[in-house]
Amino acid sequence: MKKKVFYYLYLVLGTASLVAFSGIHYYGWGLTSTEKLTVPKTVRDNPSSYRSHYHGGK
Amino acid sequence: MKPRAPKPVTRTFQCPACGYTLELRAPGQAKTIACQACTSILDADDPQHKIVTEYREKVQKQDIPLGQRGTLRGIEYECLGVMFRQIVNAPQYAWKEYLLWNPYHGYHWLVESTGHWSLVKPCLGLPLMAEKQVAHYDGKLHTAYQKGRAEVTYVLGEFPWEVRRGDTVATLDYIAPPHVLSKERDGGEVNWSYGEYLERGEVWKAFGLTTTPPPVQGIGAAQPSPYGPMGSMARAFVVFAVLALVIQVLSMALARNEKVAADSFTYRATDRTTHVRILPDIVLEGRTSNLLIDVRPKIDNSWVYFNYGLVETSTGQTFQLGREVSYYHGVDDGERWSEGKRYDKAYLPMVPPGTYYLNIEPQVPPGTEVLDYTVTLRRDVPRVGFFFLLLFFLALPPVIVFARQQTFEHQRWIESDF
Repeated sequence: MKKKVFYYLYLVLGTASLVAFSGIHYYGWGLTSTEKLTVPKTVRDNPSSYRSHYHGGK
Repeated sequence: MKPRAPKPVTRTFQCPACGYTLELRAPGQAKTIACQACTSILDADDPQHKIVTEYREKVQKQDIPLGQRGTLRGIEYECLGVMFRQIVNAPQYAWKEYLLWNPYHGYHWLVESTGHWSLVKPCLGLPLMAEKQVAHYDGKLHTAYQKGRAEVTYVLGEFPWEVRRGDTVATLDYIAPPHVLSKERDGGEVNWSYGEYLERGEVWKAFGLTTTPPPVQGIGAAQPSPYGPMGSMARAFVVFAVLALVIQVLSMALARNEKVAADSFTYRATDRTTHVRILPDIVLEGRTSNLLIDVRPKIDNSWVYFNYGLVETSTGQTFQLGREVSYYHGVDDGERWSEGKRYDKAYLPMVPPGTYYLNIEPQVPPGTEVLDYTVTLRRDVPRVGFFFLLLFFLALPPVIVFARQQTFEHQRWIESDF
């Protein structure tokens, strides 16, 4: 039993990884960094008034 | 019902060398007995227990007291004697053999070497020599591990044969962890025995010992690898990899990969209305999924930075992100080079269904007058990168365990003579 601990741990880890992998595909999870926020109705009703908080570039 | 050893039938007598009262625990079986006080070896069969070899020595430390009873692997034993042995002229290779007795099962040995223990029994049949340095016994192949000439250096207690210090036999051990197959040749007589590795805790528990076990040094010859059989882990990896591939193929087949919006825009430095552009009425249906923003600006040896804001029109939930696109190329010392890409693909993760608009705000290098670019949005786009990441992740544990297993086996075989 003791010598199979690594094997059983691996089975658990692998199964969990496959479940996570399926979830990633199903829900479209990704690593792209985004900032989430809620904009007020006045902005939603007037799209051209929206200004991103991002101001990167060079 | 497990056969239990009957109450001991013992016989006591005085040691003719020192007068100490000795107890014969297996009278009629024992041939010699070594005094537990002076260590002299006496003839157990002789009515007067004449001295075979007289010693006047201090008794050496042993871990299992003589007469101690314990149940190991379902058999109740009594410890009758202990024999210290070593490879001739090599005191660094020394071990102790405790003689265990059960009237139904006979004599077995409990062997301790550098803190590693094994329970050894006589072989029930002759091993087959499958090939040179490989012996077949009990359905397994055993590989030659160590050979030498073993010498008895110290005895205490009773033995069913005439034992003397200085007795030597040629030994050859074969291993198939957790088993060890031992061959001892004394002149024309050959004895085979078969041992199984024991955890020291099991020994201590079996005999109810409260002392501290001898420290474990190195890897025992028959010590099973704590990393288990590699084959089962490798097979598990293959199964996981195949399942991952199935999931990947299914997700690619079932993904909608649907174009939900696309448009072309022109940025003009002099026209502020072109500095922020809107992609309106983006209807995302179905389950929560990713959204790809594919932007292709017409740049050449330049860069542009896009600020995006994806706004859900009814809830106001907004995803903001910034992405740079840069592309440079040229010729240096006759060699063409390029850096960057003329496009960028940004995957917005886990975007819920709803109606959105996308706010696009490009930032351009100073002096840029005009910039044309196209933006395409795709919904539920399959991705391949995670598949390879998963394969790498799944391969890591078997690789690490394999490496550690190899190190373990290397350390085991360092002590081998083969």
